[in-house]
Amino acid sequence: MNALRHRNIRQGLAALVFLASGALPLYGLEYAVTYTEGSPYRRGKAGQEVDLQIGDVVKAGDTVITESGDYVELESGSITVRVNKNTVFTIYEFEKGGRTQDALGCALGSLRFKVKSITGQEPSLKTNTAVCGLRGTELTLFAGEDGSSLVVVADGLVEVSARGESVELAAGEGVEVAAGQAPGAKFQALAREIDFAKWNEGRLESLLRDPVQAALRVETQMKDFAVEIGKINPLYLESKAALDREREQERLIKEKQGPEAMQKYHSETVVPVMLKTLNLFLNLRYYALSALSLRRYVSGRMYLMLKSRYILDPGNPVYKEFLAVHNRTLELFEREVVERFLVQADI
Amino acid sequence: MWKKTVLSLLLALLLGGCATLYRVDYENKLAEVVALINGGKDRELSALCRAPFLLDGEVILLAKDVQAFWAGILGRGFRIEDPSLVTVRFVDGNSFRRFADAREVDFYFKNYVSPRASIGIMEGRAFRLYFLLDRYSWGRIKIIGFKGPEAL
Repeated sequence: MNALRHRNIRQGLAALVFLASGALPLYGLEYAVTYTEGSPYRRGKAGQEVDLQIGDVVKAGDTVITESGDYVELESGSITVRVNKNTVFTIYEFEKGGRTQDALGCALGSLRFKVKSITGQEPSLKTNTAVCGLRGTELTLFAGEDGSSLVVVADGLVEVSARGESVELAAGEGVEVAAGQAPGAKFQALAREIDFAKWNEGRLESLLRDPVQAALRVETQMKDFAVEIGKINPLYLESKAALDREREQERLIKEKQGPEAMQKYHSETVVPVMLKTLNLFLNLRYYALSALSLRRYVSGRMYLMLKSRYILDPGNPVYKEFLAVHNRTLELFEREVVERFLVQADI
Repeated sequence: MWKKTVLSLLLALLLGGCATLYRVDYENKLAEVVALINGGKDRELSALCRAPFLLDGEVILLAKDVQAFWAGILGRGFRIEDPSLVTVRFVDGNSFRRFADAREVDFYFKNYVSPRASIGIMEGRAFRLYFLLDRYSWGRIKIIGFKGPEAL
């Protein structure tokens, strides 16, 4: 059964590669590295790590990682992304309104996003806990140690969504979103006035003060991803079954009416079903990879911090309770995400 | 016929010799690791590690997090009292289960652990530790995973 599931994922990924090769239009952008400081690196889709140089291209599936002393600037058309030190920045793809779009993800650290003019083709921005719809031109995104996010708008309007609720931010406004929570109250702020290190220190203190609560928030966030996956998966399976039927029909048409009739049927009937199926698959992968990001950069790092804190006191009740919640989250992730929608190369 | 037998024996001796040498290298490395842990030398220990690093069932992607882990546990006074080497075992298809019985960890082994890697099992006075070690070019050995302490 698992082998069959993984074959389906591999088939879906192969189809995405086929689309990305130019056979059909995709709208994912490529981001050129225009400036670097220090030794930032890129992690590709298959996990390979390469030092990032000026002139390199970063695209969907890639992650840019900076450590202390590193800094990267990326450009795509009128879009500029500034990746600050100690940041994990990933480019995702998802489908919206029948089109493939990018989502620029900040899993850890901070980045600044600027676009010269809004055309409606801009990518979304996301953290492990919130999504930002852009109707503005400049904003800064912070992702903290406990999975919290902070969004501060410098210019224009930005809609920040989490758990089905949205907050609209104007220039000079900011909002914090805790893992597994709706956006908090708006506040007045300027990104340049916010000390990310200090904010992050506060998030870390909060995590260490009440690790069980922090783990529960991560569990809620993981459940949210599982719910989204659960909504899309039946639609994907239905569409995939329809695609299999159309392909069989296409084969029969070729046999009975010849290749010309088959070609017509292919472009008019099979291709739209194929695109629908692939778009659904893309969104499944989007949520699965978002869950993986939460797992790696929030949940896994929390575990590491707590383990080192309680290494000499493993029987501590707080630590035991934290582990119980953490293990539940892992079971959920393993059952609903890894076994169904991730492949070896993702890990 | 006898030529074949001699060749097979030579090959077996050669492979067995390599395995023995590898095992000795791993044992020496484990002794070094224990000395670093007991000396509280987190920086030197981190330099022997490679990310992605497996901590119990967690895949740690960032090298700075691996450093933070060693600094954290050694800073809190974690040491291995009366250390003894239990065994060094070469990895196989089921070795991932030593760390966690999860597909994620299975994928980690498939992606990042070579067939030359070994799991070294050490015991202290009250607990057991597992070190995942792998060989790189020029015979360099890196710690790529750690599990424990497990109460005895």
